[in-house]
Amino acid sequence: MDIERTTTSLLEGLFDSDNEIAWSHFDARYRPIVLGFARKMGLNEVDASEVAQETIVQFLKEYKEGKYDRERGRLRSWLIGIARFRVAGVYRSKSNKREYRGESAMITLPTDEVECETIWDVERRTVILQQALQELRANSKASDKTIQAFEMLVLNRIPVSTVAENLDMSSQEVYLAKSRTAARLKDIIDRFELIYDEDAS
Amino acid sequence: MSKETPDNPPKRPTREQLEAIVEGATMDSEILSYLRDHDTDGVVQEELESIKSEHGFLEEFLDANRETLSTSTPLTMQAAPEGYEILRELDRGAQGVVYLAHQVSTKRRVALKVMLQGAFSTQRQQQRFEREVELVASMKHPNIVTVFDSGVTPDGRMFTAMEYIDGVPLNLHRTHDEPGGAQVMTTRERVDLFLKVCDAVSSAHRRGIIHRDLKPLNILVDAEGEPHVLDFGLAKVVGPDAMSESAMDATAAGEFMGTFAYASPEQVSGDPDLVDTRTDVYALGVILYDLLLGQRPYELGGNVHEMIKGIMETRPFPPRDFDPEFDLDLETILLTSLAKDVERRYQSVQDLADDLMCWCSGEPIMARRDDAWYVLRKFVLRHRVPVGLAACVVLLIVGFAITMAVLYANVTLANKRLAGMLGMASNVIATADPENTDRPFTAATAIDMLEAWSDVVHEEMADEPEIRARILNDLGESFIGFDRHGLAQTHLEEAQHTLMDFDSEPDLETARSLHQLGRLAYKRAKYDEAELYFSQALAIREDMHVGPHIDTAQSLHFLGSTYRRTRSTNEAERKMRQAKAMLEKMETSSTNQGRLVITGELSSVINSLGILLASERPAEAIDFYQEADAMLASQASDDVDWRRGRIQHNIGMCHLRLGDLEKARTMFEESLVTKEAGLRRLQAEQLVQEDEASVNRLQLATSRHALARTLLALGDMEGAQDAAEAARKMRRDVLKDGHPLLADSEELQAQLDIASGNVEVALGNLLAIHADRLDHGQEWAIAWNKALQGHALSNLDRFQEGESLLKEAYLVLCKARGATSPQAISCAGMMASMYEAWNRPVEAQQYRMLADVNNARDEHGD
Repeated sequence: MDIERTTTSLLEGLFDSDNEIAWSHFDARYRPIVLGFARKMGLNEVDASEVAQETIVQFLKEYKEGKYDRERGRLRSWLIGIARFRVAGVYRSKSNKREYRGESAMITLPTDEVECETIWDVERRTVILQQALQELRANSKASDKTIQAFEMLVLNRIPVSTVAENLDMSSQEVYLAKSRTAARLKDIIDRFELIYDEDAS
Repeated sequence: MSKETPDNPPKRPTREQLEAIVEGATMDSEILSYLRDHDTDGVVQEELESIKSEHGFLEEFLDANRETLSTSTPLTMQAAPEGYEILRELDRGAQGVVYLAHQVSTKRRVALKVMLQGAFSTQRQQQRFEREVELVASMKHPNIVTVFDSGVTPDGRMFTAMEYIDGVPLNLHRTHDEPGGAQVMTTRERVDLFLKVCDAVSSAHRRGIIHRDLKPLNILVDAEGEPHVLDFGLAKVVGPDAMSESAMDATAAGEFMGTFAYASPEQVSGDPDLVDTRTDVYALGVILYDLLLGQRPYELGGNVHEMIKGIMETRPFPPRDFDPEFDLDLETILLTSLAKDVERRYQSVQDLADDLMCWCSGEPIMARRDDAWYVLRKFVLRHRVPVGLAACVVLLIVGFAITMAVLYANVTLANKRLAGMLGMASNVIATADPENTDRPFTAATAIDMLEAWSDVVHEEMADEPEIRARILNDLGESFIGFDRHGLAQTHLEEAQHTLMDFDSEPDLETARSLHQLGRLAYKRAKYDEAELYFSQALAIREDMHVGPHIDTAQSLHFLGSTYRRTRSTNEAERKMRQAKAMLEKMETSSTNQGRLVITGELSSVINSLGILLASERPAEAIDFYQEADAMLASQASDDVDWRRGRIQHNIGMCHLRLGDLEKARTMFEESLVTKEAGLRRLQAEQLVQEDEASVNRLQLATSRHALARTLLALGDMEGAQDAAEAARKMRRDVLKDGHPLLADSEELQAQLDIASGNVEVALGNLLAIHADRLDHGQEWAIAWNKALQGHALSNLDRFQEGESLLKEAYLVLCKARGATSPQAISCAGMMASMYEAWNRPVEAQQYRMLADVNNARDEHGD
């Protein structure tokens, strides 16, 4: 994924019809957030992926039709708007079924805008942290001891002595590796935050 | 830990201690006191805070990635197999995850492969897995990753511990040094590397272990450039189930694509029994293709079913299609490894390796692209082409191979050229792919093939006049076999010209083209021309062959047959007898194998003598026929019964001519029995095609028809009616309305009707047939019909009308068929009966005499 590309340039790319690359990058960037959002709205896995798919497609459609105007609102709000509508659709059809079965058709759907945005931001953070791990792994050499030490110590929770012994490092060096890597991760995350934030301006 | 005293200040807490505190360990008093009293500049406190913050961040990070990590970190210390400590994840695939681990007892690093939970649904599968690992663990080969151990993790998953190779998968190794501008591996280096892989796989095969999942990811190349093959035998256990199921759901992620690309047709066929060592040959073929060309041999895409279809059906791109410079032999090796049909592939990895080594040392390779033999055998089996057709093409190729071997005294060179030529041949044969049911190998495609081959000869062999002429002759001969006379002529004449340009002295090859040109002329009824060709061929052959030779005998034989048309029976007989004598001489002195061919040719000459003499000297003809029949009886070819049946029929015809009706009947009956047995045999061996079988049935009908006529003459009306009816039915099944043979049957029926009193019906039918006969019948056939009409009329006491028709018919029949021909004899008999009924005894007696064969002979002479 071309994470470095700003959302603006991605969006511009979407204007070229059949710009598969821009489309897939946009998709990679926002689909996981919508997916997490839909889950938090109480949908099961299947319904949530359905909503994510529909939301992205709908956005793309509206964007190409020129309905999305950056001056008029943030991308986040726009996407949340679509996603909420879709989530509501799922609930509607479920409640119809429930009604049909004679069960209570009452449902509780988070409708508060602020609440929705909070959920969205949490999801966004999660996605960024996930992407950061991918980015870290993608940009490190497997032979890089610093990364190896980090993976063992932090991700696999292996005792520092074992890690040190296997990597032929001192414990001190292992911890140093951990800190360095954590710093690298923070850098990556900050960079990503900026890119995602760009649509907030 | 020592108590704090003024002399003994607390040590600065180590990073490890600080980390432990952040992790939640209780801060002991020494650290507390250090922080409180000795960390005056707050450095340690700061460090602690930084660790805390880092910890908080990492916890958040871990939390966000819990899903990703949960699949890779279940093997924390608690879940690791006993005696191992997991260090980190190395790789993950559809079947499981590979970790770098520390084996506590040996202190060595190992690669620990842990199968996914539920990889084995039954205990039996699990046992099989363990047995397999045991077997693999027994292998020692420098290029095979050694398996140390296997077992079950505390949470119930199977694992294997194996040698840890610090390397990269084969596909990455190749390109590794490219970006740096360092030298990319040469083709030779790649082949050398690949040969090591072959050696490893072959060594495993010798122990009965098949890999089944060879792919670049399973071949790690270490820093020294040594390949190491991983995961031997594991796919066998995990394979079938894992493949089908995980294939279905993993394909979307593209994960399974990698494995699919190396799967062989038999592997995706769904029948695990079809998988054997040749499956590994296929996978190695894909790997080598990728290694040498940087791409897969065919595109695979779509859903699982489409990919399976692709693997089963998509032919690999011939490398030379996109890189004309690509080595031809290497291409052949690749395409042989990638043959869809296991029988066409290298039969072992060792064979593949041997050919690659031949290539390395510049020796000719053994593989033949789409091996011509194979293709021929296949098309004979699959499409039940007539044996003659197949034999024709087979002979062409045998001749071709022998030519090459003989002309190149140097065997290596001959092999090399032969391989090249067969390569060309395969291109030709590929145009008629027996695998492709849309284009079955028929006579038409065989002809296409020959024509394409002809192009090859024209383009490639200008500087090899001898070979060229030889192949042109082969082609000409084959075209004659397919009744493509124009093409045959062109090729044979060209062969002749080639030879004349090359060498002024006529040689045996020249004689061969002359002889074939003679056959061609004979088939086209240009008998004078044929005579010229055969006598030229004969002259050369007599000159060049010291003593008797089968080719010389053949030219004598054919010249004799031609003389029958151009000169006289006597001269024809003389040549044929010469041929017979020559072959008889050879037969006594030849070895067993040669004798078979000579005996075959000899019986053919003797049969020709029988045919030659049948009408004029039927008694002698019978002797020849019987000799040929006896000779055939001792042979063992598939169509021997059939040929004997035909000779027996001919003997029956001679008896008819001799007026010996009883003997004729016996021979026809014998002939029918032999022919029926022969046909059953041909059909059982599936040596005849449907349309050919109908020809055979027609010949059966001919004997039945002749039998019916004989029985009619013998007065056995019932038997005649049955035989005639059977013959007529057979002919109707096969022939279209209006065919002369059907008319023959109708006429015989009319004769039977007349004899049984249904004269009016018979006459009506005869008139209808007469109309047909006029359209496309021969003169004698029209006359015979008239004779029968006359016969019918005289049976209605319309003697004058009958007489004029019979008289006219008799003259024509005597002229066209001879006075002793069965038709003329019958006609005379009808006339005698007519005159008897008409009460004209003189004429009646006269024709009665002519109706007796021996008298007829005296009357008309030869």
